Amino acid sequence: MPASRARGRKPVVLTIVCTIVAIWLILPTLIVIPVSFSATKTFSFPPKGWSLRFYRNLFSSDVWRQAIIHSFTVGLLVAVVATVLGTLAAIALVKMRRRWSGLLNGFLLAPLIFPGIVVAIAIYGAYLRLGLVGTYTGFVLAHTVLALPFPIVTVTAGLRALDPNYAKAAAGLGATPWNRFTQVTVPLILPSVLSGALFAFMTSFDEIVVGLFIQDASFRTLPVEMYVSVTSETDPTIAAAATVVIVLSTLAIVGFHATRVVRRKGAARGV
Amino acid sequence: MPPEWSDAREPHAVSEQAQIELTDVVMSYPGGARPAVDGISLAVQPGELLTLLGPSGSGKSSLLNIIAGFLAPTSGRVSIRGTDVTTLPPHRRDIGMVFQNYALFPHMTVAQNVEFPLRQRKIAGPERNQRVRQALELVHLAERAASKPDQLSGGQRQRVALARAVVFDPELLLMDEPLGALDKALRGELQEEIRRLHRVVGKTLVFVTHDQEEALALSDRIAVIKDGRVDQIGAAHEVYERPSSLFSARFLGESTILTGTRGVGEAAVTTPFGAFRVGISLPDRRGEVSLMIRPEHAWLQPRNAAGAQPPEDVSPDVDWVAAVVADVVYQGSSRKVRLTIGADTRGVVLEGAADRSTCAPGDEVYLLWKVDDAWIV
Repeated sequence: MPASRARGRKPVVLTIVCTIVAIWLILPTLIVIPVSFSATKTFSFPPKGWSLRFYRNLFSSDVWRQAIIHSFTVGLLVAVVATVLGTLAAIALVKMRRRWSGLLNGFLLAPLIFPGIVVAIAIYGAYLRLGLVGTYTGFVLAHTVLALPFPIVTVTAGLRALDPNYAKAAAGLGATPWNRFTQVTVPLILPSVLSGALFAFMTSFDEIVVGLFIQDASFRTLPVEMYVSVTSETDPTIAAAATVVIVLSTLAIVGFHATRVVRRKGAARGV
Repeated sequence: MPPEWSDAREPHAVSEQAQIELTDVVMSYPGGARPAVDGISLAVQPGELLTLLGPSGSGKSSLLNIIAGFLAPTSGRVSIRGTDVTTLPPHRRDIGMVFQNYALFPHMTVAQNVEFPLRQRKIAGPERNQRVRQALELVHLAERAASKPDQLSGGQRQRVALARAVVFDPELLLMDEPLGALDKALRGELQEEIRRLHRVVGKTLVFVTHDQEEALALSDRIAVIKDGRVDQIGAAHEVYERPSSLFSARFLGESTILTGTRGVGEAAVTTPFGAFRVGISLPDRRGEVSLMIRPEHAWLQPRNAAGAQPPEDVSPDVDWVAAVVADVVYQGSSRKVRLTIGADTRGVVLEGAADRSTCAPGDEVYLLWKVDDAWIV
C-alpha cells in the first residue's frame, strides 16, 4: 500500500476489516478448487489424495460436454443479441425526451429488480405453450431478457459521456446519418459496448433460476447441469466444472481490464 | 480534380449572386423567453470574410448553426447561391465547419481526420491522398499526418480542423469561435493563418467571435449581433469608427462617451460638462445622443487648479473637457490613461510614443479632440 505508506501511517483497522471481508467472500469459492483435484468420490475437504479423474470425467462425459457447449453457445448468442438490442435501446433513450426516457428506462431495467423466480415461472408457463422448453431459442430469448439491462446501462453511460460535437462535425463534413453512426459514434463508444457484451455473456453463463425451469434432459446449461448433478449424486465432477467456470470468469474479467489498460497506455505513449 | 491552392491565385470571380442570403430568420428555443435569433436578414458576398460579433447569448452561434443546418429556423429562409436550403440537412450543404473545441475524431489519425470528408464524397484513393497531403501542407502539418489528435498541441489541433474543413473544397467555411480555447499569442498566430488560408483558398468565410480585436483583425465586414438582431453591419473600420449605436460603439472598443441632448437646429450636444460641437459631416441625430471619442483620437493637456480656463494654444477645430486622471496603464508601445469626467463618466486616452504626457493618477487635465474626430450615436 504505497499510498498509505506515503502518509507514514498504515490504516491497520481498515486493512484487517478488508482482509476479513475478502476471505469471507472468496474462501468458500476457493475450497472448490482442491476438492476438484480429489482422488476419492466424495466431497471431503481437505481431499484424501490427488488426481485429475474428475477433469477427465468432465471433458469425456457427453452430459458435461454438452452442457459446456450449450452454455458457451447460448452465452455468445445472448451477448450478441443483447448488445445489439441494448445499444439500439440506449441510442433511443439518449435521444428521447427526458420524461419518456425515464419511464422506458425503468421498464427496460425491470429484469434487474424483478424476483428471478417470478420471471422464471412466467417464462416457463409461456414456454410450455410455445414448445420452447429445452431449446436454444428458448434459452437465448430468456437470457437476453435478463441480460439486456447491462448493455443498456453501459452504452447509455458511454453515449452520455460522448461529446455531441463529434456527430455534428461528421454531419458538417458530409457524413450521412448511417456513416456518422458507424464511422464515428460506434468506434467512440466501443469500450462501453464491449463491457456491456461481457456483462451480458456472464449473465447468461451464470444464470440458474430460469434455466432450471426451461431445461429438460436433452438441453441443460452448465450451471443447470451442476445443480441437477449435485442434487442426485455427490460427484466431485461438479467441483471440476465449478473450477473451470471460476477460472474462465476470472480470465474474462482480468483480460478485459488488461486490454483497456494496455489501450490506455498505448494511447498515452502514442502507439 | 484537386483544387489548385497557391498564394498567387487569381482573384475569385465575383458573381452577382450573394453566397449566403438570410431572409427574416427567426429561431426560438423551446421554452426560451425571447427568440435566440429575432428576424435577421443578411447577405454574405462570395469570397468575403464576414464576422458575426456579439456578446455571449446574442444569438451569433445560433445563427451560424442555422446556416450550417444544425438548427432549423422557426421561420424565414436560408439560401446558398440562390438555392433555398432552409430544410436541407447539414451533410448535404457542402459547408466546411470548424468548432471551438476542434471536434477532431480521437480514434482517427490526423490524415484520417482530414480524409474523412473526402471518403464521404467517395473520392478515389490516389486523389484522396494527394488532397490530404496538400491540405496538411497548407497548414504546415504534413509531418504529423500519422499522429493521433491527443498527441498534438491545441494550436496544431485547430490547424488540423482547418485542413479538414477546406480539404473537400466546400463552397463555404463556417468557424464557431475557433480560437476561443487558445492563449493570446497562439490566437494571433492562428488569426494570421486563417487570413492566409482565406486568401489562398478564396472561400466565403463566416466567423463567429465575441472578441472585438479578433473581429477587427480578421474581417472584411463585421455584423454586430445584439439580442438576436443585427445591430450594425459594415466594413471593420466603419463599424469601429462610425458605429450606428451606443452598443456597437462600446462593444467594438473603449472610448470616451459624453451623453447629453441635442435639440433641432443645434450644432452642439449639451451635456453636464458643457456643450460640445458636432462635426458637420456627422449624422443628423437629435434628442438624447452621445458623443464618442476613440482613445487614439484624444490627447491630454495639464490643467491648473482654477480649472475654468480653456487650455492654451487650442486651434478652433478642437473641443475639450476637464477631467481627472484615474489610472495610467503602461502597455509597452503605448500608454492608456483612464480618466474621470464628473462623477460617473469615464474617459480614456491612448498615447503613442511621440505624444506621451507625464500625467499621473490624481492629476487634473484637459481631454482634447478634433471636432471632426468625434462621432455621434
